Amino acid sequence: ENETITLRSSDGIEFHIDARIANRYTLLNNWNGENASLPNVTGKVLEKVLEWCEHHINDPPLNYDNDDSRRRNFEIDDWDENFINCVNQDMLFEIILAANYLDIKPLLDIGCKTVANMIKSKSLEEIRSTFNIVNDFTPEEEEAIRRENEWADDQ
Amino acid sequence: MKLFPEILDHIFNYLIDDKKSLHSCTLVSMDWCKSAVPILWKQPFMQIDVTKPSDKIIGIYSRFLSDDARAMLLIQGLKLPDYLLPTYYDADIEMNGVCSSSSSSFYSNNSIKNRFNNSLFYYPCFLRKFKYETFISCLEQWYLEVLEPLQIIDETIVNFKITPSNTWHNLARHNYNASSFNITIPSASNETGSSKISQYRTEEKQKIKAAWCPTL
Repeated sequence: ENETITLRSSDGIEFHIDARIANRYTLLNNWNGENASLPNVTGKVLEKVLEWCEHHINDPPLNYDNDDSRRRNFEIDDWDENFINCVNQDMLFEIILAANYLDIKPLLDIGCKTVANMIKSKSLEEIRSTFNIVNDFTPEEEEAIRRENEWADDQ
Repeated sequence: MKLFPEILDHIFNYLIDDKKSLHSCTLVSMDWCKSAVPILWKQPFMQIDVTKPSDKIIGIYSRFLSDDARAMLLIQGLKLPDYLLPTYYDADIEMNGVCSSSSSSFYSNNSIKNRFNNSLFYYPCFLRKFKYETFISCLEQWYLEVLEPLQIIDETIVNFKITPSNTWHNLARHNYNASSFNITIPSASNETGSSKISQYRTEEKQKIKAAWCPTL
């Protein structure tokens, strides 16, 4: 009755998790009583994700029927803010990808909202350097995108 | 580490009310652009300040007008910039024989090519939320900036009464402000007054949306 599932990370580390955690998230719950291998998640990342899940084990169940209202009502609480601010950017992206893969929506929301906040009020060059992204536009494409979206650059 | 499109969509959705940030995102890289553009164009008229209307957005949308819609504007007597003429429209025929020289026909071929829309995205298809009042003020701004300078002043209807404050420019502008309502809302042209925008019946709103945003 006190079932557990065993999650094995891509680098072979095993985590035994409480059924109460698994019950909260559809995908984890599907694996209840089984062993699951996660080829996309390393032990380091899975540990962080499970740390988050354990802290939120007693949260009231969330209603996912409406994605828009979930976004609108969304606020990051202090514990989550501290949790997410303590990881570096690579880990943040890893957590987002793992939360997406494991279908842990509230954690995915926190990660994505954090990235959105990092984008806000930065210039184009600052965004590229913050996220280490190479400009892969041809000069013609960049010109066209700039021209076609110019209306949004006012003020 | 790269975030894939589904995640980028999720992130950019948090910026939907921040057109300036989304605009920066469109220019970061091709991947970011493909996710940011659909969100930026989801509700553009909600993001534009109605008191600072943008003619540029209408300029982009206008590129997507069908040949029929373009022809309809011509039939109503408007002069259109070359790139907005119907793709089949041959300006040389109308100009009676000006086309005989080779340089002129080169120009004409080139300008016909220009009428085909080569935008990178099909922007109108992203529209999900619409604010009529802002749309109309943008449309009027576009008329003033783009179409009005092309219209030939018909001297029979310009008011010649000269008062010290009335420059030619003011006369012309005043006159064509009124006629701008005729292009945007053909079925409501007998109403006058600036307050009428808010009074249009749903049916008429639908017609405009149908002409400008066929995907709605």
